[in-house]
Amino acid sequence: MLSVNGITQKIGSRTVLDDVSFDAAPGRITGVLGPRGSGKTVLAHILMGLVDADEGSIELERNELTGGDRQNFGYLPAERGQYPGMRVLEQIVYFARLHGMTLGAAEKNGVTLLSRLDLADRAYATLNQLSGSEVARVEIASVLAADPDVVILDEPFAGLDAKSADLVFELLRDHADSGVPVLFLSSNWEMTQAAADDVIVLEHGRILAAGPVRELIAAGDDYLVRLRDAGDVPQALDVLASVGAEGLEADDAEITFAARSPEAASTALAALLAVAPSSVASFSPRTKSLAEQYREVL
Amino acid sequence: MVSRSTPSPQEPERDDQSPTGSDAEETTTTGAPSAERTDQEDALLDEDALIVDEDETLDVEDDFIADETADDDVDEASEAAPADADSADSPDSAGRGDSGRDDDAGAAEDGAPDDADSADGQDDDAPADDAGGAGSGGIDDAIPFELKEDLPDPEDEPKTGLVSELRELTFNQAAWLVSNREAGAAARSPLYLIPTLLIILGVMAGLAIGIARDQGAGDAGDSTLAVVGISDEAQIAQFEQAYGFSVLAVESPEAAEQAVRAGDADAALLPDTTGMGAPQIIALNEEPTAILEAINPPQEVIYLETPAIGEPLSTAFAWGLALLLVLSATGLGTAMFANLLVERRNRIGEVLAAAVPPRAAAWGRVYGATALSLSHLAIGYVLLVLGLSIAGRTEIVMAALPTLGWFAALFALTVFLYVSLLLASASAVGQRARKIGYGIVTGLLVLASLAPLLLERFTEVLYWLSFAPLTSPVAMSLRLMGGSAEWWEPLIAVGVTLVVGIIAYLIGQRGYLANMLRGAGRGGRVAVAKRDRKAAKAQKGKSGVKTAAGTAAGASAAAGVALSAEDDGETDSAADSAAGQPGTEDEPDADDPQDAADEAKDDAGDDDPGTGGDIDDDSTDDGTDDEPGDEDETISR
Repeated sequence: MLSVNGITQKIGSRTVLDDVSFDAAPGRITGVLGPRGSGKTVLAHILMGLVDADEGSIELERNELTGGDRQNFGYLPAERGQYPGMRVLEQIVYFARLHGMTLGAAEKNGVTLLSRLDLADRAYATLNQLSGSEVARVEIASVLAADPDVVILDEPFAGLDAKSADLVFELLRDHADSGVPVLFLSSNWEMTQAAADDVIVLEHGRILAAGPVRELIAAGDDYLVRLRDAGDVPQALDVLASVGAEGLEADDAEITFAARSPEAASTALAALLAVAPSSVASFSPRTKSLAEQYREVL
Repeated sequence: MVSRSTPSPQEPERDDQSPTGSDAEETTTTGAPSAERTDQEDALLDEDALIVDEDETLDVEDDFIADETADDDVDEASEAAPADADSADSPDSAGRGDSGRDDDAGAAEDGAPDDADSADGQDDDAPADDAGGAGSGGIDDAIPFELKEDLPDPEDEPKTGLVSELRELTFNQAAWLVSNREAGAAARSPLYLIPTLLIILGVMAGLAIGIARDQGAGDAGDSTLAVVGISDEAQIAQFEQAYGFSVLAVESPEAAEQAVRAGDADAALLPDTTGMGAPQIIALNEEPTAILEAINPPQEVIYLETPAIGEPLSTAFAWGLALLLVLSATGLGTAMFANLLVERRNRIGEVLAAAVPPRAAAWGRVYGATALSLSHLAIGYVLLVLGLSIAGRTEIVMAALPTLGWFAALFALTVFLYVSLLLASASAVGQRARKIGYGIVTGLLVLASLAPLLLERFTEVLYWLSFAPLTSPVAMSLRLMGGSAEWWEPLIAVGVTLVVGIIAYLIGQRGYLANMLRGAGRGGRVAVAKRDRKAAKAQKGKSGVKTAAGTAAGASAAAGVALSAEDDGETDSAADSAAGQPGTEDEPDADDPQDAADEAKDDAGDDDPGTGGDIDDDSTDDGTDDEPGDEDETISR
C-alpha cells in the first residue's frame, strides 16, 4: 500500500498541494485526476522523492520512504521523452538497468513488453523513426521493464490511440494484478474513468473527490426513465411533476429527472407504475461521467 | 518491499482455456488415474495411457461439441451479468474450462457471477499439476532427473510475463551505466566521428610532410662519421668510397666525442677498447640515419645527450597536439552538452534522478566524455608512433615520449575541466545563458590551446602559460620539447589543472542537481524575476477573493467522497487559479522575442493529441507550462 499522508507543498507564496492524503492499494489502479495546474506533477515529484514536501509523508507498506526505497519505482514523467536517437530496445534496457535490473533480465523484459505492446518489429528502430503512439508505448515499456514495485505515471495516455490505450490498460492491469500499486496522474477524464479503479480528483492542489470510480460515477441524484412509447411522455411528465420530481427533461422516449433522495425516486416510480404500468420500459439511476460531474461542480 | 501475489492456481491462464485445447480434456480424463499410480508405473504405462487417453479424449471432445452450444448461451448470459467476478474467473472462462460437464453448463446458465465462481470452484477439485496434462507429466517422468530442464511452472509466472532480477546499484555502477550510455551515444555521433577522422588525417598528413622535409635535411647532415684510429689517407678514401659518406679521422674516442658535440661529425665510430665486442656508434641527440643505413649490420646508437625535438619539429608537434585537444574536447563536450539539453527538454533528467543518485548521473556523463576523449589521444599517438617507426625516425619518438606522456595527463584533465564547465553551462537557467556559457567556455578552450603557439617566443609568458589550466597542455609540451622545463614542473601543471577541474566539476554538479528538474517542456527557461512578478499578481488577485480552509480536501480514497458543489466554495480560487490562467503566470515577455519563440514552442509541444477527453478549456491550456513543479524545484537527494 502506497500511502500519501497530508502532503502540503508551497512554491513561493502559492500553495500547490494542500493536505493531500490518499492510498494507492496494491492490485488496484489509482488515477489522480485534475486539470493542468492542479498540482499533479508536483505530487508526482514528491512521490518519487525528487522534491521534499513541506509537510506530510509518503509511506510504502507503512514505512516512510527514503530516497533509496524508490530505486525500483517505475516513473514516467509528464511531457516525457526518451533519447531520440537511441534504439528502442536499447533504450528500454538502459532504463531498466538504471533500476538495478540485470542485463539479461532487462533484455528479456524489453522483448516481452515490446511484444505485448505490438512493437516487436520496432525494437531496433530509433525513437525518431516511430509514430507518436509508438513512442508513447515505448515510454510505457521503459517504465515497466524493471518490473517495478510501484508504478507512477504522469500523463500516461498522452499520445496513445485507442488500440494502444487498450494494450497499455491491459499491461497496467496485469501489473496491478501482480500486487503492485499502479498510480497515474492524468488530465484525461475519459481515459482515467476507463482505466482506474480508484480516482482522486485534484483541483488547485486539493482533493475535490476521491473513491472508487464506480461509486463516483453513480453518485449523481438524476434518474432515467425509459418509456416504451414516446406518446406516453406527456402523461409521464405530469405524473412525475405531481410527485415533486425536479429537473424534468424529455428526449424521445426518455425522461430524466432529479430526485432529492432514493426514497423520492421510489415514490416517483411507484406513481408512474400506478398510472401507466405497461409504459415503463426501464427505470435506473443515471450515471454521470467524471467529466460531466466535474463540469457541473465547477 | 511490496509483497506480490502470484496468480492463483485456481485462476487458469487465458491461453490455456481454448475450447479446443487438449489440456482441459487431459485434465479430466487422466488426472485421477495418474494420481493413483506410482511414478514407476506411470513411466511404464505412459505410452499406453496416452493411447487410452486419446480415445477418451475423443469421447470428451464429442461431449464438448455437444455442450458447446449450451456454453455459448451461458457465455452470453454471463457476459451480460455484472462483472463482479475476478477477471480471471470470468463467466466466459468458467464456461470454457468446464466445458466437459453438463452440470457446469447448467450452473453457468443461471448467468449469475456467483455461479460462475462456483463453477470455478469445481475446477479446484482437479489437482493443479494436472492442468498441464497427465500425458506430458508422464513424459517428464521418463526424462532422467539430470537432463530435466529447470523450467518455471507457468502457473507461477506473473501475468506481466516479466522477470525480476534486481540488484542494488552502487554509485559507481550507476555512474558507469550513465557514462556508458553517454560515451556510446557520443561515439555514434558526428561530433565524435568527424574529429576522429580529422585527427587521423591530420596525423598522417603531418607525418608525410614532416618526414619528407626531414628526409632531405637528414641526407645532408648525416654524412660525416668520425672514426678513431684511421690516419692513412688511402684508408679514409677507401672508407668513404665504400660507404658513401665523409670520414673524419680522429685520434681518440674523446676527440671523436668532441667532434660530434661540436657538430663536425654527425656520429662517431668508436672501437671497443676490450677488443672483444663490436665498435659503438655515438651521436649527439639525433639518429644518424644515412650512416646507420650504410653500416651493416645495423647498430644501436648511443646518444651523448637526451634526444630532443628541434625548433621546427617541436612547433609542428605542438600544433598537432593543440588541434588534437581542441577537436576532441569540443566534439565530445558539445555532444554531452547537446545530450544534456535533450534530457532537460524531455524530462529524462527526472527519470534519471528517480532511478539513480543525481550525483552519479552528473559524474557519469563527465567521466564518459572524458574517457571517450582518450580514444582520440590513443588514435593520435598510435598513428604517430607507427608512422615515425615506419619512417625509421624512432629517435623522434624517443625524444617525444616525455612530452607525450605529460601531454596525455594534461589532456585528460583539461577535457575533464572543459566538460565540467559545459555541465555548469548546460545547467544554466535560460536558453540564452546556456548558449552564452557554451560559447564562452568553448572559445576559452580554443584560445587557450592556441595562445602558447602564438606566444611561443615570449619565454616568460610561455612559462606561466605552462602552469595555467587550459593552456598548460600545449605550453608545457612546448617547454618540454624545448628542454626548458624541469621534471617537476609538469607535475605542478597537472596538479593545478586537477584542482581547477575538481572545482569546475563541483560547480557543474551543483548546477546540474539544482536545475535538473527545471525547464522540462520549456527548454529550461525559468525566470525568477517573472515568478516574483506573478506571485505579486496572484497576491493582488487574492486580496479580493474570500478564502476558506479546505477541510474536505484531505479526503481519503476509502472515504469515497463524491464530487460536490460545496467543495467549489471552499477552494482557494484566486491564487491557485493563477496557475491555469493565461497571462497570470509564465506570460511571455513581449519585449523578448526569444521568450515569445520559446512560449510558442512550448505551447506546440504541450499539445496532447491523445487527450481528447481533457476537461481543460482554452483558458487552462495556456497553463500547460505552468505545472507548479517547474518553477522552483531542486533535487532533494
